[in-house]
Amino acid sequence: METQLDKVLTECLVQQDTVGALVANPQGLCLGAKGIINPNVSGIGMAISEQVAKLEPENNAPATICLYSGNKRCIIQKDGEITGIIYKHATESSNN
Amino acid sequence: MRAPVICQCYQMAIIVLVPCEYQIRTIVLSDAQAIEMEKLITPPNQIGHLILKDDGAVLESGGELKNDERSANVIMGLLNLTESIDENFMPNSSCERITIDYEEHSYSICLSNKRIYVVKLSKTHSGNGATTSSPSSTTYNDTEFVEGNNASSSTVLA
Repeated sequence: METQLDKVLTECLVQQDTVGALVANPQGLCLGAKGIINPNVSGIGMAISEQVAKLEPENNAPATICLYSGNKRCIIQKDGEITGIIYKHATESSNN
Repeated sequence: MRAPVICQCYQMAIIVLVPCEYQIRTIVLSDAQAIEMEKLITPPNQIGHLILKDDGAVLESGGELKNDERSANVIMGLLNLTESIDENFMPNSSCERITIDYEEHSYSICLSNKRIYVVKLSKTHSGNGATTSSPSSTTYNDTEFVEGNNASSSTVLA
């Protein structure tokens, strides 16, 4: 199971501007993390995805949450029991 | 005379350019008029909006989010959670915009001037064309910013 998660996280990290990726379980515990990301973020990431799920409880499609701060982005998506969190940091070279 | 052209938002006042003969005047609007002006610049695919105070009170609402206090409460809860995610990656309270993306629509949440602006945008909506378009020939000058938002609606600055 860990090997599969590891593979997915590695695939996430090779995407442009991605600096860190993490997956969390329904209890907000970190199942795996790669790159520059604090594993403790799993709890708050899970809480954010649970809060957003209250916005449209009848909508079963997973919502993607994106938090913007300058050239940094934190992307959170809950799909079923797993929540994924990705950190992106746009550098000047990626903007050109 | 051509219609005024919105050129700059500053705090809760919107500065508009009024082409008057060969002069361009800058007018600062009051809060209430600024909200009215904001209605004019709504994107065509907007299907709902909310304007909240920093304590969560609904100031303005419309479309699918009209009087939607439940959504307002959920969004306030979300904003409280996003205040401190990871100090090392995003400094606390530095999150300036949040988007929530669904298959057919999305929400965009922006924080400005102690107010929280929420818009619900449709991805399939063709739009009603209710946008304010600027004449392509209009020359824009750098606007003069005026501190404070208590300016009278009739104040002509330039």
